[in-house]
Amino acid sequence: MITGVSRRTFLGLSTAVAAGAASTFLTGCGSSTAGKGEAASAKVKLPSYIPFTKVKPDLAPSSKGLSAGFLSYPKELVQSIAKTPGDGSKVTLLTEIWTQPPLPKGTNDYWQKVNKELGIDLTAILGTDPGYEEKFPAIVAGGDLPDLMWIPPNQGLQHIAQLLEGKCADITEYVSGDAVRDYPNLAAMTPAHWKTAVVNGKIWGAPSPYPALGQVYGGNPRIWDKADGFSASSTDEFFAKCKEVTGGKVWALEPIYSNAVSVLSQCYGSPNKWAREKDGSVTFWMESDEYAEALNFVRKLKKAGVFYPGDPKMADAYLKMAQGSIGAVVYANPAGARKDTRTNDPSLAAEILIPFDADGHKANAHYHAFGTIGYTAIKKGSEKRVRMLLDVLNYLAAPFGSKEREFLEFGEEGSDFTYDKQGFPQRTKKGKQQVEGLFSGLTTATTSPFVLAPSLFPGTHGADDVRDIYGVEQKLIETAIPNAAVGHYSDAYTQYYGRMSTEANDLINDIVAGRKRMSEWKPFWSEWGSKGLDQMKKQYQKSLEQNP
Amino acid sequence: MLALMAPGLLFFAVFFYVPMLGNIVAFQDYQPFIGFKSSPWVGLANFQELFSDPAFWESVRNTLAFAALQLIFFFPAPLALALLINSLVSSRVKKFVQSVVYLPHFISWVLVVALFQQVLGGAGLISNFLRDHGLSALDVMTDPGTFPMLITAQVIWKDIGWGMIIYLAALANVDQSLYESAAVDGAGPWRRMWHVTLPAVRGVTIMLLVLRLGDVLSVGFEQFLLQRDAVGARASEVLDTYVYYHGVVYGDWGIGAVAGLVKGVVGALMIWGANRLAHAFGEQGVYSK
Repeated sequence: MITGVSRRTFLGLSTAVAAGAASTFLTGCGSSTAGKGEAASAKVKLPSYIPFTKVKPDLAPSSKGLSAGFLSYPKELVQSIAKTPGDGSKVTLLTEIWTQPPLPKGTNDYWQKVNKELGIDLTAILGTDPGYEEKFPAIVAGGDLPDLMWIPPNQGLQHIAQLLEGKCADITEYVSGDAVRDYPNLAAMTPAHWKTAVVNGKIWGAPSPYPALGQVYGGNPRIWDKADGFSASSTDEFFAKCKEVTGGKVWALEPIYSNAVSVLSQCYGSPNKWAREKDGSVTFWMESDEYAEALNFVRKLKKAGVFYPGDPKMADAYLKMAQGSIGAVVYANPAGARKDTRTNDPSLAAEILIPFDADGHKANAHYHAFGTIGYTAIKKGSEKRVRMLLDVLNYLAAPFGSKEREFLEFGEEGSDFTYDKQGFPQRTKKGKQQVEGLFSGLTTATTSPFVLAPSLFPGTHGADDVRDIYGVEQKLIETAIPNAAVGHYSDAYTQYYGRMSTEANDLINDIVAGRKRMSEWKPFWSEWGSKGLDQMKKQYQKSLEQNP
Repeated sequence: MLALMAPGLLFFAVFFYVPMLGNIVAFQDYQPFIGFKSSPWVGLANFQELFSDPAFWESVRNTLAFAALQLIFFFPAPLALALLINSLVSSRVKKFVQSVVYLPHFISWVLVVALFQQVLGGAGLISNFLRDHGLSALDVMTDPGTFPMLITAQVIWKDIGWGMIIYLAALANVDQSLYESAAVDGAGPWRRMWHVTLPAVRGVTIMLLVLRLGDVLSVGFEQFLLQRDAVGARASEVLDTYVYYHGVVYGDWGIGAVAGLVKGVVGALMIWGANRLAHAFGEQGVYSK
């Protein structure tokens, strides 16, 4: 499932993706491609946006990124695919799973059914998190390239542009503009989704959709009830509430300081990673006064002792929240927060902190995320072969409410799933062993644009969860601001961003923990100006001017 | 005979000597995609950049400090433990203790650090106990000041039993009649240790010391990577993590290779020097003249 992506990746993702266009981040090795990518990426004609209208959601989506919401399961499932996409040949897929692995092909009935439905003989290489960033280059270096490869934006894969140009199929002419009508399920992706899959002015694959809203604090209501709920209207109130709930073996916040600064900087009105000023120049959020103020606020929170006393890299903070020793944890998006708490404890519903106005500051804001976790590229081949593989991806992108989607997500009724009292499919034990893991891998490759459906949330409160999260999304969308660099290209970014973000993260940890002074923050950034940041800003500005 | 040696020679050639050619990266602006041949030659520019980077010198300083602590506290610890276990009479107890103390060697650093966190961390066993009794909690897992002590303690806990094995083997070879004759001559337990036991393990100890000195700049990697965020980069960066961050994470392969090369050269010099010293003391060292 889409929000099943582990938290670790979530977070990495929101930094990497949001900090620069996903495609740009990947476009490896700086100097050798310098200059070429920037101009070319600006010109491509993206596929037409033809939303799927045969199933009407109960809660309507919006073009700004609000998710469609379903409160009940559609009574009549529609057919979204006319004929079997495959030609019976062997297809290998390199992807990542976010669950337990499925039973292997030989003993997995569902796998055989997928093969039959898709008309292929599927071999799936299932990576895990962490580990994909090692698996991917090893497989690529081995020379025997899979037919379909998921290319994530956030795992530090290098030289993707060269890999694509050398070994992968340019699908621009098959999907650009109205050509995408041949693949109706893929046509339901928005231009924002497609932008992820553009490198060097060509489209390289099917996007992997993901919720469009960004990082939020999800809180355990049992802890925050004591302080009148997990909300605040000022920094003072938030500070006081954090102090109020901290005590004994309970701490208000997880100790992942960089995420705390990131989420709370929304309250101060800092830019969403990269911003375009009125005069056309580009600025970076960490340089802004607003971000520095948020950092200072987090430093104060740390001094007040409201952070859990642990490692800023701790991996089990979300479990500690479900157990009641941490009050709030940063999640990649609201749906992910609610899903995670329901998974750990079905009676626990994460409350989402809506960014508040920090005192004396302009309106709060929410950081829009990107809406995808990369894309799946296709190995070079004859037009017939590439189009067949596109048909397969088109099947995988079957929308919620279609027969194909139900089959992919749940398998066959009776053996893999049964309908519960409210009419939602629930996997049987066999379905969990056979379907869950493989579906996780297929859905990473590509899937339909994100929708809120009760089945996303374990337990029996699914419909309430959809309403709650839809409500939260509505509130967040009101103040959501975009990241100006999304869909734009900077060679300097791919070359220097890894180092810059590691050093900035070290410094944030040092300042918050009191090992370095707040006064070292600004000089750090003026120094980075000449070490690559100015170059990134200039390149983004140029790209934005060419394609506003 | 030569045929029997072939697999061993091949192993060293393929995994040790051929990769050494990769050090050429130190003189290039290396990009993996274009390879060794096409990467531009930059001469000594990488060396200049490395030596002018304050973060590099910070990592050198940390590495030397940790190495010194390990040499003083960790190096003799297995010998002491071996003497202790060797003095146990019951062979069943001996075997049991031996197994227990060398098991931690097989635990990965991730788990070792997690264990220390569970016991010594801010929300760990001891801190919770202190808090329950109205005292202030312990902060050793996040305090850069005590970090050198912490990592030395972790190394001792993890590897003391493993290091002990080789000493136990040496002790098992001591001729028992030497102890008997020493006892007959009226030597007490301390004198027997001084005159019989320690001379017996002197050769092994010096050989291990020489090997350790050659490897003195490798103070660990995962241990520091895992605890970096808790105490900050300034306190925890060592040469190996510096190489990792600059070479792999930042993509500055050249700089990473230079740092690795410097470390290798220093290590070779240390081996050579320590071995000379061993010869001066009339020991064999790792190779003889």
